[in-house]
Amino acid sequence: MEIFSHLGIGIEAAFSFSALLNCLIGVTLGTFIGVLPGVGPLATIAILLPVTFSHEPTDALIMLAGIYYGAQYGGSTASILLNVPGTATSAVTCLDGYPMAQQGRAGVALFITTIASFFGSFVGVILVAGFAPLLAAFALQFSAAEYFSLMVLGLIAASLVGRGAPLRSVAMVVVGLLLGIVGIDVNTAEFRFTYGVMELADGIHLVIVATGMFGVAEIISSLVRPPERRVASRDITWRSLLPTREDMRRSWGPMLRGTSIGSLFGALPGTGSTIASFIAYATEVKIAKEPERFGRGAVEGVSAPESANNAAAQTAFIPTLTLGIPGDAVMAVMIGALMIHGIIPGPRLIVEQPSLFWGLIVSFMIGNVMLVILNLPLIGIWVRILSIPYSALFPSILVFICVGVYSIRNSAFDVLMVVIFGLVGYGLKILRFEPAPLLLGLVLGPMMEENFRRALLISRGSAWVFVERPISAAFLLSTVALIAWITIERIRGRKEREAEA
Amino acid sequence: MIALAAVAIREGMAHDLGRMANIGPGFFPLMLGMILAVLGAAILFVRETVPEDLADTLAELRQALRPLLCICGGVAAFALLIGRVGLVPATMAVVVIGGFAWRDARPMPVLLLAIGLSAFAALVFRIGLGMPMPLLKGF
Repeated sequence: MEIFSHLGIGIEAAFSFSALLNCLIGVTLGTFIGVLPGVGPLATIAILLPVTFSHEPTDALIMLAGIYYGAQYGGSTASILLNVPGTATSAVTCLDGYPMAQQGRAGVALFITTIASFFGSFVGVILVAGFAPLLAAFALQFSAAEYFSLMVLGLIAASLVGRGAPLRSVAMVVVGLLLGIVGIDVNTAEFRFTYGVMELADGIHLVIVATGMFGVAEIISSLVRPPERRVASRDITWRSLLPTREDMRRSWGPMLRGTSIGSLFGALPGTGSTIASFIAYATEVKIAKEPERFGRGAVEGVSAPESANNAAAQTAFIPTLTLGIPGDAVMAVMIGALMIHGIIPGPRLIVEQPSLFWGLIVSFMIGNVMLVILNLPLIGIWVRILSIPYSALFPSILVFICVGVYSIRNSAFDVLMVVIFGLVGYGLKILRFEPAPLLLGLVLGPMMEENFRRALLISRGSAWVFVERPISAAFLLSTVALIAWITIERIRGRKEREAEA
Repeated sequence: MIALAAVAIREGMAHDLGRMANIGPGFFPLMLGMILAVLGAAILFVRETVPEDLADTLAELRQALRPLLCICGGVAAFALLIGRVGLVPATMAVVVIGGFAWRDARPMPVLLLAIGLSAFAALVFRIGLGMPMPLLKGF
């Protein structure tokens, strides 16, 4: 069996001391920042990216990925106890998690979310192990034209389906693409958009944009509107964790459905864990026999979204690792991390870097087991972390941002750039532009141009190459269909609103 | 209104940038520039739902002034200091200046936090991770 030899490679890679240590650091940190409202996985991964430069690529990825899925576990803790989502992906968990805490059932809610998270993640990992190699084998026949079209589809999908107004999001993608090609043009060695500033010659580093727009800007807006903190329950005893038989019976169905929904939406470009958790919740409400129980502490309202967002967090790695197409902004940063280590994500990754791919898969499993241990017996620690005041937290984040960015290449200019992107990020937030699509564009910009040029070179300048090749045409057609669908939905929505008014 | 102005400015910039280089390396930027111009115009005309009106935005901006100045000032101070005087004073500067972004910040806790964090940064980044940056310079 091929899969066993692969897993063997993975086990070897993931059970090395440094890999285990990085996995533990990653998931612990992930839970920590997941629990804390106001610090998201994206900013954390971006800040820690420079720290991992000196690591082996596999270890670096294991740690960064651990932060991502660890945050999915931690996020629900704040939702349940504070009614403030620790991460955007567990926003729905507030709806029933907080009422449960108010009824003195916080422990049960925490237990169920951890079990649901573990279940969702585990299924997600198995799907990654099963489907990623298949998808990669299929993608091997892609040429430059297919890649270009796939990136168009990915970017459009991400900006249309995500939060925020579609036109603005697409505009942000284009701005991101433009930012992505700043610097020396690889084909002609010409300087573009540098305006004589030598520091820009190497391009704008992903970490700078990400920490500026998601770190600094986030801090500023949190300070303008400080998050409210009222802990519903401080004492979580062992006994209070245990759910009743009724709770467990009610949770299985939602967990299975949530996991399926999450796995599907995680793997699709443009939809991530946040959307998956919302859809999972909505599905439960729709099929419930007594929908009025939701919003008043229904167990199903906790287990479905939590299994969905964790499953999605794992399956999101399928397109990221096999196609090099990130589904959301966090995955874009992951791709950036791979490229910094000189690894080009794409269909060849699994074949050329088997220990990285399979090591990552096995580390997901180890990490999830660690997370269950971290989240059940040690829950008391995380509850106490909720009482760290923001006034102590944000200066610490600032220090990490400063030192992290400076350490990329010992450049004070880079730190000043963070200020600029922080200001821009806050400005965009006020103007209701979503920064996430910009980040996607930034990562994909150079790759997209490269493939665009190569496709045209092969076809001797004929732009028809993108529609003559069937797979490429299918991608472009899906893009057009998606745009048409969203436009029709919008117009219909507007008419309905006008009819009501 | 602000949204519209910003879009217009960006649109103009996009045009300039697009035409900068010659056909080879300039083609892709030009293409993007044109797409962005169309999108900018579309945003101007379509006016997607922007919930808050101008007064609210201005009120928020006024509130944001202090965090904006302190946070950005702190990070900028770090940028200016790190190369000249080293990691410890630069960290102190970013925490002290940035710390006052908090509306109820008082000098003593902020100072203590600054000392704690700069010690922490020195330990973790310089000694723990061995990053090549001097702790203190020129004294």
